[in-house]
Amino acid sequence: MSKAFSPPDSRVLIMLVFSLSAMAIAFTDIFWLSGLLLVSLLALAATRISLWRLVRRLRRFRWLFFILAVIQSLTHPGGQVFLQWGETVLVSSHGLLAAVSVMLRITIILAVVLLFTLRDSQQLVVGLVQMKVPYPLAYMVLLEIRFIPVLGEDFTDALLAIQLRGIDMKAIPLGARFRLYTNILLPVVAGALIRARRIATAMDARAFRAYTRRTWLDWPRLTPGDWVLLGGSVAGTAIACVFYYGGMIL
Amino acid sequence: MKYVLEAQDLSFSWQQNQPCLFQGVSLELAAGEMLGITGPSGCGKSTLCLCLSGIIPNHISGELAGSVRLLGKPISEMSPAAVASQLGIVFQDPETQLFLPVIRNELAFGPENLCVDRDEIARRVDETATELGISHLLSSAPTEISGGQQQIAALASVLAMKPQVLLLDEVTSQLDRRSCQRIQEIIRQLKKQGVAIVMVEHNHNQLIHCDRVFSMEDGQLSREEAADV
Repeated sequence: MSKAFSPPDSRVLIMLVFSLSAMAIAFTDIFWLSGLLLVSLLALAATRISLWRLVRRLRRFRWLFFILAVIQSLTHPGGQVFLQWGETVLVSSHGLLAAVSVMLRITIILAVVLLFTLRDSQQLVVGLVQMKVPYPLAYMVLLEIRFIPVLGEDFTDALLAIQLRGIDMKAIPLGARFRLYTNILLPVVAGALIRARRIATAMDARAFRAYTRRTWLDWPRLTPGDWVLLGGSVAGTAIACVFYYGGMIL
Repeated sequence: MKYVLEAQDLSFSWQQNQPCLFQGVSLELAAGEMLGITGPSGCGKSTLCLCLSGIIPNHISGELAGSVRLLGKPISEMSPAAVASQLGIVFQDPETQLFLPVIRNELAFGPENLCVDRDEIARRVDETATELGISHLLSSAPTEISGGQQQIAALASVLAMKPQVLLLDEVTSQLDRRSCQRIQEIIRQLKKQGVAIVMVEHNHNQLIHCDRVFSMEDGQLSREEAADV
């Protein structure tokens, strides 16, 4: 019989996500970024997170990838030129490498953030508090995590309500559709702010921030496995930074 | 008679130089007593609840005159912790009260903020969930349960703080008949236990257990009728 999988402690996940995404932002070398991507994918596989979830996320960002690749290609005109228009270099080897490194960075960040799905938002709040983050700030993070999808849902609902009134969105010209989106956005954001205020009132009514400290029903302890992972991620990040910034770039 | 909640000559407007939403509102509530407030939508019932709970003006600003005393002390001079440990308020919309991943966290949230001991929190969570018949929902997400169950969970999250005074702002407005009956039964039990309750409702049928019912209209609160005691 296989042993039930127990995800690592929230603090381990926060540390892993923070260190991998920080290195993804700081490092520019394409081989190092490829290595970080490999580590991120291994982390997903080890924690039994389906890689399809990452693929679905990447699909959603495909236009962003394309736009960033074009911008990077235009702003890094060095190396071998592949495509030129007059004096302007459109595609060059340096530009392509810069575009690939940006894509790798985004992929790494999207991959490691999936690790957070192993714990619920309350467990992540407890993890942040255990890492000495003030609890009101940790709850603020939780509410932000909760509000981003709610905002998306509200926007979709507003669009659906418009379509139910007989408006065919596909038949609307692009410019008019853009104006419609901007018109919807304002009431949706205003609605979200009103809801956020109501939640804040309900939280205050239940003594939120009444004291600078609070007790916690669940206060998990790190297991030996968590300590190994935590130590490994700190040591791995330190070693990678020493090698990278110490001039020992692969 | 010693009152647990007293309001004296309350008047409120959202901004200066605006007409008052209500004025000259006075009421007293003793332990184990239940008071109903009814009136048309938008007459200021919910705002009165916010004033009675100290949320106005402590958390939401406005022009409030008069005084509210909780257990003999002016509520404006009490700390948020002191108010929250004695007085609980359940709002109309459970969606804006339940924001944590599972119901168990919701029930623990209030006692945790009041720095209640961990074992005591666990005991209160189990006890409140059992009393309100939602033990089977403790591991459920608020979004996974029905509106009626959400409302009971919102009530449970306040009751876990063991308040002596309970303000219920149209808590049955979104519920079906069966869930309404369930809430009524819970309220009747709380009253028996000595909890003082203010129940705001636009539906008179929900005020059957009230000792006194007041009607709010044109900014005035007036005694309406004697309900069954």
